[in-house]
Formats: sequence, structure tokens, C-alpha cells
Amino acid sequence: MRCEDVKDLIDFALSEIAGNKEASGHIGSCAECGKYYRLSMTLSGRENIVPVPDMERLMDKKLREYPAKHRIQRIRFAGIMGAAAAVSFTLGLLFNPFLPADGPQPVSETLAADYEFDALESMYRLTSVSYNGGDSETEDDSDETVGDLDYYYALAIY
Amino acid sequence: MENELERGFTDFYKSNRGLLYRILRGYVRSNGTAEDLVSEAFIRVYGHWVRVRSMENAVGYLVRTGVNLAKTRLTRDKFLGWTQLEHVGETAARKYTEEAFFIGEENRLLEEGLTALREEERNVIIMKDIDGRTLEQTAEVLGLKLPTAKSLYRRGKLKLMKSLEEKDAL
Repeated sequence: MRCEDVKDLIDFALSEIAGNKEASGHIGSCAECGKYYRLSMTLSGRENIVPVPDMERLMDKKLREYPAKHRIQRIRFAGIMGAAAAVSFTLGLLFNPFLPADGPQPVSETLAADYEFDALESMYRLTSVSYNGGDSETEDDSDETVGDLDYYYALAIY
Repeated sequence: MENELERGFTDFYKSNRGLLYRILRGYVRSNGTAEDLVSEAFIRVYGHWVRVRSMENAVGYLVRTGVNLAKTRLTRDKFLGWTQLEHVGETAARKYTEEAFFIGEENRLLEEGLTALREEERNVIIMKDIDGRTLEQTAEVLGLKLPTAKSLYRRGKLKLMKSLEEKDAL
């Protein structure tokens, strides 16, 4: 019998070794297989194995605490996310990246005095011109030629 | 319905706590920590029990949960040990004072050898020899192919044999 076959037998049919004369003979004569057999016997010997401790009490305690712990975790998570949102919002207000570096510019006195000036209308015209590629000579960007859709598009951008 | 779920979970707990305890004991070096992690893993599974109980490999899910918890705990302990140097000596002294798998001083080297194996090899040996499951069940739970599990099992035992031979303990 080859060593590999004996080791297979030890691995998968340890209890049958004693009744197998050929295998027993090989284990008796081959030092390596003998050691492998002794190791396997020790590993699977029930009397050697430490019993699993009783964890019932610990488990019961944790199960009782589970709903409260779970609730606390959810509240904590909501708190952390809320705090992060508040901090982001405040930082966004303080360091608004969409404002010019030197802050919002005041409206000129001339413009402020002009009661006819309509900021929305002005923005609408500007957007329409940009939208048409800035070619105001070929496109008529007056109110009459631009449809409602364009108006609301400009309004949305504004 | 709720009672049925509870009963199902209790059976699941009773039939797998030993396996999980031994596998996790292979990762952490303290019986108390292993017990704590086992209960923690079962609590996690309990939280998803309706989904987990219909899984094909619920035990595998439990084992993976436990192993992940153990690895997280080890990483945390390593970090804490690094920040709290006064505890390092205490942890090192605790290393081999408790029996993990085998009873008796004569099996101490065997225990050390088993703990020093690669985690896949150690888990296969623990499940097959110590917990008494078949290699087919072992492979299924650990998510391995049967030939891989066989090869890990044989290789682990040969390594263990070699380490005991070197210490003249076989």
C-alpha cells in the first residue's frame, strides 16, 4: 500500500484503519504514516477536545439589549448625518464657490436710478444671445421671435 | 409565525455555536473574546434572520460574519495596542495561557501549531476533526470546492505534523 493511499484512508476513514490489516501494517512500518496517524487520532479524539462554553447567559443579555442598541445606532447615525449636513451647509454659505472672489458687486447708481431697468429682462436677453451663439446680427432676439419655452428656459437659468 | 422564527433561530444557534466558537477562537487568542464575538455574530444574523434562514448556506453566512467581526476586532486591538503600549505585555502574556481546542498540557504544542496555521487550513481542520463535520459539509460552509478543501486539509495536517516533529512532540 502506498503512503498516499494510507493517508487518504486516515483522512476519510479513520475508524476503519484498525480493521484493515494492510493499512495497519503500513502504519506500523512507515514512520511518517505512523506520525500522521497519531496526529489524526489526537486531533479527532473527542476526549481531548475542550467543550464549548455555555454562552446562553451572554446571548440572552445581548438579545435583550438588541432593540435598544439598534435604536441607539440609528439615532446616532441620523445625528452624525444631520451634523455633517449642517456643517456642509454652513461652510457653503461662508465659502460659496459660485460668488466672485471679491464678493457680489453693488448695482451702479445709474442703473439703480433707472426705474425702467428690468434685471430679469436683461438676463433673459443676455441668455438668448449666448444661446444663439452670440450672433445677434443674424438672429432676432426680440420678445416677438423668442417663444415662451425660451423665455422659461432663460428664467430657469436666471 | 414569530414563535416559529424564534424556534428556528434557537435551533440554528444551538447547532452552530460550537463551530463558530472554535473557528473564531482560532483567530482571537482569548476565550472571552471568542465568546463575545460568537454572540455578536449571532445577534447580527438575528437582525436579518428572515432573509438568512432561507439562504442556501446560512451557516456559511454566519461563519463569514463571525470571521469579519474577529478580523475587525483584531485590527482594532492592534491599533489600541499601538496607542496604549502598557497593554502590549499583558496581551502577549495572555497568549497561551488558556486552553483553546485541546485539554491538557501535553497538547499545548499541538494547539500552538494549529493556531499558527494559515486560516483556511486551520478552519478546515477545526471543522473536520474538532467539530466532526464531513469534508463535504466543510467545503460547503467555507465556500470552497471539495478538492480545494481536501488539499487544504492534507496540507494543514502535514504542516502541523512537521511543526510537532521539529519540537520532538510526536
